[in-house]
Amino acid sequence: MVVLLQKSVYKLEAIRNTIYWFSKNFEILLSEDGDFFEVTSDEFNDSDRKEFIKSLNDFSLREQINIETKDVKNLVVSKAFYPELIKFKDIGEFDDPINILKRNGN
Amino acid sequence: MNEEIKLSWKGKTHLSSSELFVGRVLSKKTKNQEISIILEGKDLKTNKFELFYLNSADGVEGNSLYDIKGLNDIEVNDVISIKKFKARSVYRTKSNNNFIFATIRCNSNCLMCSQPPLDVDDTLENYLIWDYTIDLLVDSPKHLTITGGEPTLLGEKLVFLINKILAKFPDLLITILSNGRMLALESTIETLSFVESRKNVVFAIPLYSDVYKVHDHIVQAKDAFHQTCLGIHKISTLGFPVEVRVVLHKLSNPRLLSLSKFIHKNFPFIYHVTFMGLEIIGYTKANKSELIEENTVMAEENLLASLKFLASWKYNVSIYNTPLCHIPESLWSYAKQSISDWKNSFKPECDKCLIKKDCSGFFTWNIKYAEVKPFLEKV
Amino acid sequence: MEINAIRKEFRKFQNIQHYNDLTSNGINLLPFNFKRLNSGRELIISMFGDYLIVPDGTVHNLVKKNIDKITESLHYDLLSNHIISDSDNIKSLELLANRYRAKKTNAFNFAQLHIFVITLRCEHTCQYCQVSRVSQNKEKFDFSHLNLFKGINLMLASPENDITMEFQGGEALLAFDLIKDAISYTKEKARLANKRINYVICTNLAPINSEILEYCKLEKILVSCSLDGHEELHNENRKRPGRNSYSLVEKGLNLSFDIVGRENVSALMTTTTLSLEHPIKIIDEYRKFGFNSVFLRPISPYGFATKNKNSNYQTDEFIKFYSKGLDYILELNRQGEYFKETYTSILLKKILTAFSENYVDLMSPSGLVNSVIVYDYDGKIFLSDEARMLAQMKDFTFQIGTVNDNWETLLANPIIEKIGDAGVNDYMAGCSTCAYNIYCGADPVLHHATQGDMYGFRPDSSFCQRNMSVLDIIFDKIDTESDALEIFKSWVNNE
Repeated sequence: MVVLLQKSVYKLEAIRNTIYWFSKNFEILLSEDGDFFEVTSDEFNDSDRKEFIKSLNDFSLREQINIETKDVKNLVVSKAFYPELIKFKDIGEFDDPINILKRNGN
Repeated sequence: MNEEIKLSWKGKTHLSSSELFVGRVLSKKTKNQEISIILEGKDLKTNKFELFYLNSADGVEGNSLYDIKGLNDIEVNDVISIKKFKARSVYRTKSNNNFIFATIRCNSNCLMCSQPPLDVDDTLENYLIWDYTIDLLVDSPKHLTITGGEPTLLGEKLVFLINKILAKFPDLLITILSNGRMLALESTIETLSFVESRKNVVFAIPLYSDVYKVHDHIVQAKDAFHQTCLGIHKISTLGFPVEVRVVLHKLSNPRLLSLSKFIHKNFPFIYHVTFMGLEIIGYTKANKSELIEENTVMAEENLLASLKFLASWKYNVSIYNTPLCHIPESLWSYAKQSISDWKNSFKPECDKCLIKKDCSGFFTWNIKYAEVKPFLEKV
Repeated sequence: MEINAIRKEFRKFQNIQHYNDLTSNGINLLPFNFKRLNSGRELIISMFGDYLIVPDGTVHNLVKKNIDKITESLHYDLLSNHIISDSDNIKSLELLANRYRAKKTNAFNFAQLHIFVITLRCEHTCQYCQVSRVSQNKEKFDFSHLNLFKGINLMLASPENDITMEFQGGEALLAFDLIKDAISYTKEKARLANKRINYVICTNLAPINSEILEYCKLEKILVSCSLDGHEELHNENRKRPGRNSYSLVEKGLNLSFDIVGRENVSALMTTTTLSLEHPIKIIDEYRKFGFNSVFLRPISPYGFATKNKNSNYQTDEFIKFYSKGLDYILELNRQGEYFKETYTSILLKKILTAFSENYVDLMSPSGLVNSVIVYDYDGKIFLSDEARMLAQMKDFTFQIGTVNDNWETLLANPIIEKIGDAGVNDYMAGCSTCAYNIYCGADPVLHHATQGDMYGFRPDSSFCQRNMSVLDIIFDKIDTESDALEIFKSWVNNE
């Protein structure tokens, strides 16, 4: 069975992650054809295909989460292990009116 | 039956009165229902040592205030400050909990603030008062609370005072009531790192929600939630014990259990969690409709669930300033007597109550809003 | 004039909308992963180990920023559990870094468990034993005094101030005099080095007597014994001349309870194919002796285990065994009896608290070196117990040196850098996309032993299958059994 996946919808990373787990029980080949990725497995039946798509959708979500959050993740990990190397900006305003006045040179 | 204690007095003065005098009560004489008090201390502006006289009746020449009501609450060795025609109690020997009033300034504007801030820089004056008061103290206070406004606005002067008093009384325990926001700043942490005996100083920091905008709204300051949360971490890292305080009202009650879980996950090192009754004084009066809880059943359930949750994880938990008839019996073991003896009051009906002696009573200014259900049968 | 204007603006009361950080850009995601529960609900787990069970479709709505499809209550829970942020710039970064560091404190430690294989001599022939069986007469299979003292010097030179010194074998008590020498040497030097040492002796209890136990009481030594289950099972797993291992354990346990006290005695079971048929009986055996916990451990595929067919088992069968056992244990708790499963408790500590747990196999970065060091009877030093078992099969990959080396040399061994890479599950294939990442670990030694590759192919990994299945079971129970969470909590907060 060949599963055709539109490149505009499914990213390679998510497809690879799905294949990684399915390769325990299935022999799977991945190839490209124009605007599509082709996932081929002789051993797939309809139920397997359904499971594969379900899993792929979830890995796609994970990939999107990863893309959006990897900068934050790296910052957090770096600060956790090298606290002195990274300084974050102060969060917002702290001053009371008297200090605001002093700040403005009064 | 109002047990409120007088802490400030107004009188008439002669022209030669001291500008800012701080002194210790040397003697208190009562004659024919008239009280006369002699103070020994110093004028903080001129640095001259002198005596000062407080009289309920006529005055004397020199430094004095006369025609003052309510001098009876003053005891020998109390410390009093006098500015123009006002006298203020600075330290009371008979009290279990004295306050260092750091400043009336504050960088927050809590909807339920019981001591509404003024934007007047009194930090130097308050520092000078207490710097000298520490010299005047004879015996160690039992407990000292530093309050305000926001004490961290005192900056390094706060550190001077703390180090000075702990050097004189090394076993003293101090609680600092702070909104914790400036503790997120490296500069504040740097300053506070000069406090020598950190284990003696507990930071009591309010947190009202696990959701940033709910907390910010209650304290009326943008980003206060994130600042306070980080501040709790940073001050703990320095070695100061931290207490989280939650005032119970309509805005904080709904997510009380979520807040407790947030504390458990994010501040597992916390020394104490306290839940406090709402004081209907100060700003609270202006925001009554937003603050006074209407769904008391939900509120009690949430409080019970929160206390159970925190207690099951072995946190030190207490309820303050909520009378026993307002707390389910299963939570009575967590209810502590009020920490501010001068704020306590009971209603006349409370005299019949069998457990009055274990009860914190009400905030004096809450009395007229309060309902009581005295326990007439053995519980 | 100036102050009044500032004051007025500052002190004006605002409504809650004024403090809202949400912009037209919508919510921002913080690092998290998710899994689908059997019930159809979704399990979201943040980078810091906070978990939230949410309605089906929530993750999709989060990724697509459909904030209108998320209730206010759920929105608040997501904020509270560090899964999303309203503001574009993340204001909790430093707090989150502290949260993450709390989960990874292991990475900053050095080994706190130092295992000394004091002798290989043993008169049992347990079917799963990873140690070369050597008869009693061969004195050359004991630690030499010289090597022993060198090993202890190394232990005391390491940076940690609270150390556990564990004596294993063979049968450790066959070398009791050697243990006594080791402890008196250690005590003296530890005092000078200002270190606190806890002692543990692992024993099959056959050689135990009052004299040994009085010594244990004196030196506050913990006694850890093997109890595989009821008599028939225990004797079948752990054969010895006379076939009476169980009755010796029974005698030994009762004597130990008497002399050193229950709180200083623990028991450990090892699972075989035979064990897998009897989860309930095994648990009842532990209850019979008054223990309130059992560690349902799978056996590591090292040493004699792989040679002996009886110890060959599928992970699936182990999971069935574990699941039956856990159900039974939960039922006991429901009936008012406090009893816990140890492995579950270790995972629960990671799930229910801000902390991690000091268990070698569930650490990332890996617990090799950060958690345990093993000194073998012949002076060789290994990164873990399993690493030493591999050496029995002539695979010395995870040996870092001998007691004649100093720490500089030992830690410069290239294997350390290799496990530094293969021992971190954050970025490994299969692990980096796993929702349970923050609760799990990495096991380079096991993967090297079973797959010939330290990283390991996750779908075939017994380590992965086991942990994933156990975590699936735990979260399924939290999701669907209303009292499970309170029972689980009691296993963690009663420490």
